[in-house]
Formats: sequence, structure tokens, C-alpha cells
Amino acid sequence: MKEFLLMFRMDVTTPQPPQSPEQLQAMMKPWQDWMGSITAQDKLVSAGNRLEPDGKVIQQKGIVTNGPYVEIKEAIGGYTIVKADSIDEATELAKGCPILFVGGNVEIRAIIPMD
Amino acid sequence: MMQQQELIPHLFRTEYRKLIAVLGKFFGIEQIAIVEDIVGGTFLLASETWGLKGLPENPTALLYRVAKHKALDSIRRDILYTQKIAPEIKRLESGVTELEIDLSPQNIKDNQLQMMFAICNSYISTEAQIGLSPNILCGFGIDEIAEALLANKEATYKSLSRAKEKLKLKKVKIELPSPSEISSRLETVLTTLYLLFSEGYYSISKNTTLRKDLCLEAIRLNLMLTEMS
Repeated sequence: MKEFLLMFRMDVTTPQPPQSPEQLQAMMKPWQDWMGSITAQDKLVSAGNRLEPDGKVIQQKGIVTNGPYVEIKEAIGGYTIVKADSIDEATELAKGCPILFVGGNVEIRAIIPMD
Repeated sequence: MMQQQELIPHLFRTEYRKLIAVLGKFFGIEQIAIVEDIVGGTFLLASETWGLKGLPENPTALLYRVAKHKALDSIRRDILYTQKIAPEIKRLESGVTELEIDLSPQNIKDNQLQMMFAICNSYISTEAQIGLSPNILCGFGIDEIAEALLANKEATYKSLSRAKEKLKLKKVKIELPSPSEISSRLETVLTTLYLLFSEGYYSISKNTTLRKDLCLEAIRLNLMLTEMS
């Protein structure tokens, strides 16, 4: 089995309106279900992390800018690592990602094994 | 063990108001909008993180930690604060990364009481106090307040914003009144709590859960007051 990095991209520039506790709970549920199903299939390598929306980018010649990329709306909001036999299988797993239901997208990349 | 599907609403009910009171005291009432953003953002990030990584051992402790981080970030980011919190910034630059945001039970309680006096203040109308109290002291959302008070959401939102603006303009301090003022100030607080209870008790709103919550909150705030003496 190979490992795959799933990167969740989403719109980080539009400020989110305050959510009610019930909305927050409703938002958390599909993530728990999705992660739960990956774990149940024993395909989870690392749950990964959520990332802050802002950061810095170091350009050529050491120029540091506020990033990630101010000119585009989407940034990586988090990542997870799964294992699968093929990128197609990893893609199938990623199709259940709840970010897809809120306007985000998932990029799937095979991790090159070094051993 | 609490059902997972109720965790966030439960935490929101118990912890939102505490964080608002402590951070409100820390930043000052004039920054209440920022404080609401920080606390709202804390719950958002917690829900997102727990969806991905599962629930932590002690969700409350984690919420407090996230809220402190967010407060710290907010201070670092916004240069407007440098005047008010300049000494803190200096300490941060000298390598101290923890802010003195005291989330101990005693300080939470103290700050909540102080916040009660800040909001139940004759600078703002009684009607506005009745809207603002459940919002800031109890963590009710605009929708809920509008429903409980049978008011239009838009109007409720505007009235709350105006009230917050007024507190800011009058530079209301989040503190207990001096002993000489306390009885007159207490009168205002008690009137508002009484009316808050009545809004729940006599309301013609059909939402009985909400009405009950409003009554319970009024009772809770009263109990806090009696414990003070």
C-alpha cells in the first residue's frame, strides 16, 4: 500500500458569519463520520492537522511576503494522510470529504516512499 | 459520558459566557466585538479540529488554550492595540509567550459579575439591557434573542450594536461599582434580571425550550449576585 496526502483547500478570505452551537455541531459530525469510516477501513495513516489561514511565503532572494497567496481565495486549510493501493482508491476515499460540501476541494498526491 | 452530538452546544452554553467575560475584562468593553470574534472563532476552530482529529480528553481546557492563543494572535496582529497593551507587548517581545489571561474559576466568576454591572448600566435603555444581557452574559445568539423577545432579527441586531457602541462611547469599565454606588447600581442589575426572567416566564413565544432557558439564565445570574455578598 502507498501513502497519499489529502490536502483540503478552501476559501479563507471570506469571513465566516458566527455559527450557532447547533450549526457547529452539525458541521463537526460529517468530519467525524468521514474520518471514522477511513479509520474503520484501516486506511488512516495520520489524521493530520488544521492550518491557520494566514502564513508567510519566502520568495527568491529571501523576500518574505504574507501569504499563502494573497491573490487567490483558496488556501490549504488542513491535511490528512491515508493509505491505499492506488491513487484511484485514495481518490474514492477523498470523495467523502465534507470540505467538498462547503465549496472546498481536495487534492490527492502520492507520497514517494523513501525506504 | 456526554453524547458526542451534544458536546458543542453543551460547551457553548457553559463556556462561551465565561470566555466572553474574562476576555472582555482583559481587552475592555470597547473591544467587545473583537472578543466576540475571538470566542466565536475558538468554537469554530475547536469543532473543525475535533471533527478531524477526534475529541480531546479535556475539551474545556483545550477551548481555553485556543482562546488564549487567539487572543495573543489578535494582539500581535492589530497595531491599534499597542497603545493599550504596550506593556504586555514589551513582555511578549522579551520572550514571554503566555499572556496573563486568568481562566481560573474564581476569576471567571469575578469577571462575569463585573460584566453584569457593565451591561446593566443606566447609560443604555432597559430594553437594550434585556437584549444585551442574554447575548453577552449567557451566550444567546441574535436569532434566539429576537425569537424570545418576539422582535425582528434585523431590529434586534441593530439595537444590540447600538448598545455596544454606547458602552464603548461611555468608556464603561468592566468592574464592580464602588461601595457607595453599589446599592443604586444593583437596582439596575436586579431590574434587568427580573425583566429577563419575566420575558421567559410570560412570553407568548411558542419556543418553550428557549423560554425556559431564559428563566434559568436569569436565576443563574441572580444566584451569582447573591454569592457575591
